Formats: sequence, C-alpha cells, structure tokens
Amino acid sequence: MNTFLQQLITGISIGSIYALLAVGYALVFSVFNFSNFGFGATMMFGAFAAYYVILGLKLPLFVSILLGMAAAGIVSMMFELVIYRPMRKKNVMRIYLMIAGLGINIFAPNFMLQIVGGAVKGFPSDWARVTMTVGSVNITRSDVLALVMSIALLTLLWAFLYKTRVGLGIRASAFDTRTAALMGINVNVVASAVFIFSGAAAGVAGCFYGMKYSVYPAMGAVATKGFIASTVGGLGSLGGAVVAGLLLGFLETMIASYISTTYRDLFAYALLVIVLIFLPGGLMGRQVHDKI
Amino acid sequence: MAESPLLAVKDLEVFYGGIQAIHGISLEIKKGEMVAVIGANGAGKSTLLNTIAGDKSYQKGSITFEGEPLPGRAYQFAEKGICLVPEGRRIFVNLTVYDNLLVGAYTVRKKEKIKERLEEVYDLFPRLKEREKQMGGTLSGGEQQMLAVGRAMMAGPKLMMLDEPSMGLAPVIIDEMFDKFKKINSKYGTTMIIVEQNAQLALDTANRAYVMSVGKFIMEGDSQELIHDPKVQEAYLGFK
Ligand SMILES: Nc1ncnc2c1ncn2[C@@H]1O[C@H](COP(=O)(O)OP(=O)(O)O)[C@@H](O)[C@H]1O
Ligand SMILES: [Mg+2]
Repeated sequence: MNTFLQQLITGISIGSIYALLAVGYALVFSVFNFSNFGFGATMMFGAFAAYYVILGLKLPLFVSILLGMAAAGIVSMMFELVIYRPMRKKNVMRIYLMIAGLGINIFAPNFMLQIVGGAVKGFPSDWARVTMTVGSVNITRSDVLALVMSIALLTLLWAFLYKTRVGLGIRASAFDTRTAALMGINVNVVASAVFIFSGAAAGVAGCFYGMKYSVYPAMGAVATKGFIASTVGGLGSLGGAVVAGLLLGFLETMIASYISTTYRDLFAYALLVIVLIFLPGGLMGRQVHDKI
Repeated sequence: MAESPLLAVKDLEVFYGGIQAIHGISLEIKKGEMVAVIGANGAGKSTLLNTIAGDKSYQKGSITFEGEPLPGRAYQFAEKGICLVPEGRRIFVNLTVYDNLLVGAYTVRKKEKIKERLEEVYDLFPRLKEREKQMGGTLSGGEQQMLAVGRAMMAGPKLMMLDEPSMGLAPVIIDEMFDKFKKINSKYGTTMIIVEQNAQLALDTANRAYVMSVGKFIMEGDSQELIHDPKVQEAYLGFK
C-alpha cells in the first residue's frame, strides 16, 4: 500500500509535467491545427535559462523558475515569429509546419551541445532536493512544487482563456481563424499569445523535469510524452491534455515500479498507438465543442 | 452636390489562383440603402462580398469605403464598420451564444456600448437570450442565422452584408428573418447588401438590385422594375 501511495505521488508529479507539456501542444493545435514539435526545444531552453539564472545570478529557485518560464515563452514566440508565421502567411500545408518544428527540435539540442557541451547537469537547488516524510511516504519538495505550480499555471491559463478579451479571441480562433478575422480578431496577436503561453508551460515543465532528473541539451525528448498525452487526450482539447498527462504519468510510474522501468516508454507508445486505432479522436476530442 | 457613396467598387477583378471569379464589377451604394445582389449558383456573389469584407484579396480595380481605400488586413475591416454575415453562417460552434455575440463586439472597447448592443440584439431576437448559455453548435439553423446576424450587429456596422441568409431555412422563418433585416435597416440606418439565390425574396426586400451572372453585373436597377422585367422573370423568378 505504501509503495502504491509513493508511486502515486511520483506519478502525479511526473504527470503534472506531462500535463503542462500536453496543454501546450493542445493550445497550439486547437487554434492552428498543427503540433508544434519545437516544443521540446522550448522546454530545454526554459530549463537551461533557470539553471544559469541560479548559477550565474544566484537568484532564488522560485524566481529562477519564473525567469525560465519567461525565457521559454519568449523563445516560443520567436519560433512563431521567425519560422511559423512566414510559413502560415504563405498558406503552406500544416505538415510543413510540423516538419519545420522537427527541424527546430534537432537543431536546438545540437546548438546547445556546441555551446554548453553535452554534460548532464544536476539542477542547482538543494532546497528542491529535500525530501519530506508524510506518514510513511517520502515526497521531494520539487514534486510538491511541480504539482502546485502546474495547478496554478493551468488555473491562470483557464482564467486567461475564459475571462479576458484576447482569451475570447483565442477561443474564437480555435473554431476558425478566418471567421475570427471577420470579427476583428488579429490572428497574429492570437498566435503570439498562444505561443507565449504554451512556451511558458513548456519552460516550467523543463524546470521541473530538470529538478527531477537533470538538465542537458537532449532533455527536450521528453516533450514527446506531452505530445502523446495531448493526442491521447484528444488533439486540441485542453481538458483532455490535462487528464491524459496525469494518467500517462501515473500509468508509467506504476509500470516502472510493478513491472519494469524498461517497459515504461514502450508502454507510452503502445498506449498512443492503441488509442489512435480505437479512439482516433482521443479520450476527449471527439466533439468540436470540446476544443477550448 | 450629390452625397458621396458609402461603398464604391470600381472595375473589380478577383481571381482564385488562375481562375477569374469576378470580371470587372462596379457598384455604388449610398448610406442607408438596402441593396440586393441576385444570381445563380457560382455567379460570384459570395466572392464579391468576401472581397468587400476583406476575407478574399482582389487583383484589379478599387474599393473605397467612406471615400477611403479598404484597410490592408482582414481583421481591420470590422473596426471600419464593414461586417459580413457569411454564407453558411460560420457560427462559433465551440462558444456559447453569449460568447458568440461578445466576439462580434471584439472591436468595441466600451463595456457600456457592448451591453447596450447586447440588449438591442436580444430585443430583436428574444430567442437568443433564451439560448444565451447554449453552445452555438447546438442551435437550429434558424437560430444560428439569428446569431450570425446578431453577432454582426454587435460590431455596430455601417455596412452589413448578408450572404444567402435564407439558405436552408423554413419559409416562415425566412419571412420573419427578412422582416428583421428591414427593421435593422430602418431602425439603425445600417446600410445593407443582401445576396440571394431566392430572387423574389431579395427583390421584395431591397430597394435596388444587381443581377449577377458569371462574375459580371448584367442588369441593375430598382427592385420593382426588375421584378417586372421579363428577362429577370424568366431567368431568376421561375416565370415562363
Ligand atoms: N475557394 C475557391 N477556390 C477556387 N475557386 C472558387 C473558390 N470559391 C469560389 N470559387 C469559384 O468562383 C466562382 C464564384 O463562386 P462564388 O463566389 O462562391 O459564387 P456564388 O456565391 O454566386 O455561388 C465559382 O466558379 C466558384 O467555383
Ligand atoms: Mg455563394
């Protein structure tokens, strides 16, 4: 029972990282109908930004996470501005946007490899590593922080989408950007907002992944798990992304603990394929109403 | 001196890739007018409206609104006062009725103005108020058309363009709908262009009309005169 509880908590904390990533994919997909595969790179830059803020500027952990988040948001917006926007203007097929994203995802880690080297870096926060014991369960502070910040960020995102004017513009654009434009909504503003928000989510995910494991140029590979979660949840569905992200984290952890860690990734991809075969719309993406 | 037109289109040519859809069209519409454009399927009616609304780019000719050239980007048209109620309505099915109306007022910054317009819309279409919290996608065809018109009203347009508003609606609802158009026109002075395949309906509603065929205007004039024109009767009103 205690191992179960222990694994449940680990599962939720890794799941909340997946959920943040999945929401980022869902947000971009819901408006622009493509998956931003540059997301892993965004996440990695966010983690490195926080890493160097702590080491170089000696700022507290929380501030460094916020700065990592801001850096990732800006990087994400730059990808949109420099790569995706010119392509969208030319009305290219969505698949080319995704190929460009794959390009980013290969370019970015190699770029970082040249600059900082490939060494695996421990996240420089002793505070985050401290383990608390609740009953017979051990919880690391970073796990708690990951969960709390994910909830806070998702709530903020929800409030932004449902309580602000630009949020309304995003939701309208999620149905159709051309009709939204007829209403006076500038799709470029929507794009910037969507990429900043999803990038920030990736940045936070990167920080927590870095705390849980480590910071290194190829760490963005884990964003694939977010992509799987967003697909399983239903492409473009924010609720589905959160649910599937948590579910994936939970199931993976259970499999790693009760079966074998080697089956963990195998499982995630098997889940993806099975869901695509039997529920191509994902758990929550069958109706267009389920889009944000 | 004659009043300058609200909308002036001159020698307009519009292409889809290499295919020409509009072959040199000119029209002038004065403030407060209600004008119909009739013509068969594929004549280019939607293309014309979409171009004026900024949803489609044009290749030749000129369009001026209130004496000024049209803005450069699609999203800037609503703010200028040009609103399209598009063919097929294009309701935001993922948003509530209320949010759909709010999106219509996206360019309106004053909260009081939005509230005021909302009341006007609910006044004209009480059904929308009843369905306020429902998702746009759950409405019936008639209700969706009301919502599309209400959404356009929210922007407080100077020019409202309606693309086949009768399409797919029951006859009773169509009559009701066209009465509302007249009301909007007379009450708020909104200039209107109504595009219809249902020529009888359009000519009965509008003061003036253009007859369009294969990307050109082949006739224009007073609606009542056109209704009695044998050529129009044969080609568009189903008379033999
Ligand atoms: N998106 C498009 N791409 C290519 N051709 C189009 C497109 N939309 C319309 N057309 C063509 O332009 C012409 C006019 O179409 P349209 O403006 O929709 O006519 P109407 O509204 O009068 O039925 C038609 O020949 C149609 O096939
Ligand atoms: Mg048409």
